[in-house]
Amino acid sequence: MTDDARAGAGGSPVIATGVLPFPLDFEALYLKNQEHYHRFALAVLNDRQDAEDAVHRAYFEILAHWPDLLADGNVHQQTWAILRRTVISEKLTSYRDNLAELTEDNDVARALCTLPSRQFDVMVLRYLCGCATADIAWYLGVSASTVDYHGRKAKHRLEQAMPARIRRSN
Amino acid sequence: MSAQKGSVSHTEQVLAAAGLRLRARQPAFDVPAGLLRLARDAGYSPVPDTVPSVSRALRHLKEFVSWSLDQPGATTHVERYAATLGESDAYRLLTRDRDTEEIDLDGAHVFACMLYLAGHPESAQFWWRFTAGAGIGASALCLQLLHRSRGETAEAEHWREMLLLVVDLDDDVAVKATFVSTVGRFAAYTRRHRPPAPVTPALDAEVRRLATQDDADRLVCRPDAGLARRLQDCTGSL
Repeated sequence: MTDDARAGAGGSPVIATGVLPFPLDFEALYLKNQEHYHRFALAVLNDRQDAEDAVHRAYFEILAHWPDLLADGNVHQQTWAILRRTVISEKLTSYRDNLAELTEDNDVARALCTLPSRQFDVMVLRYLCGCATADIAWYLGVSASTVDYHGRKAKHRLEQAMPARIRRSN
Repeated sequence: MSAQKGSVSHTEQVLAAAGLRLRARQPAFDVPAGLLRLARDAGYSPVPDTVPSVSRALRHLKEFVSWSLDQPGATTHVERYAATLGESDAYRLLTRDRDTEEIDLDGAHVFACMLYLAGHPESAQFWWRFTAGAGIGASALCLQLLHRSRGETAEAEHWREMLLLVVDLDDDVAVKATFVSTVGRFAAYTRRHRPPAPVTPALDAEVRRLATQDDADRLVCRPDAGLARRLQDCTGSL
């Protein structure tokens, strides 16, 4: 097991044989966020195992940098950034297909994938994951009004991106 | 409704429907397994699901001791015990055979439990050894747990053997093991469903008074009627 020893946050080795519980605040974050993290990952990756692996890698990275993340102020913004990078990079090319499959609508999926990342996150969390604005604000580490702002911008962009036939048909 | 607004509505509908499908099929994530996986990969030792035996023993001891104090008749036993000891000459205490016959052994056990809860484990140990030697199984159990909680395996085993001797069980090893663990679990169960009478400051003060009433550095103290009354006040049982 000592082969598994990895550098701790302060650069000191973490000995695998010792009983080292997680930092309590990290575990709290894990428990609070894991459900929506998994849902977000599943929405993007469309595969349970991929989603769990991606979230696992994200938490692994968050844990490795935990003291630094705490010291830097906005821990939520940073943990979300880590999750996002882990999930989106998991299958960079195919997540548009995944979203198309999930939404059963190529146009919406394509438009969604062209959104700036903040807007994309807000839309996926709000509509696909079913998160309330307050929760989205918590996950992204921004204020609720910022979430709403990104939501409005995203809607506007989506509506512009819809093919003319859909716009006409409604 | 404008055409633009309509198209957003279409998008929202598509997304909302997709969200419902997603949430309907999202399987429950095994959170403990996820945490264990993370701990393993991050070089943390997985925390075993069982409580370390020393912590468990300490917890069981506290539970059992509280339970002993809370038993009907506990106060009466302590009163009898105090009365008998009151007649004895202190220096001859426990040196004669008749001491073990006349002394209320259950009262001595309860008294030891009080000493333990009041933070005098060494004195408690003395009385438990006396009563366990005289055949009180509850005291043997307390000693077994006390030693195990200190990591003193050999002593713990000794008192476990004594306990099994006292209760005179079947020779089957499995039965014996089950008996010992069941007693602990029973005490724990009782505690969970019937919270113990707390060690009140009054009882605590009473034990301290007894412990320090004579010479300093006195390890073993004897009960008196005042203590029995305090116990009665605390537990409300007779």
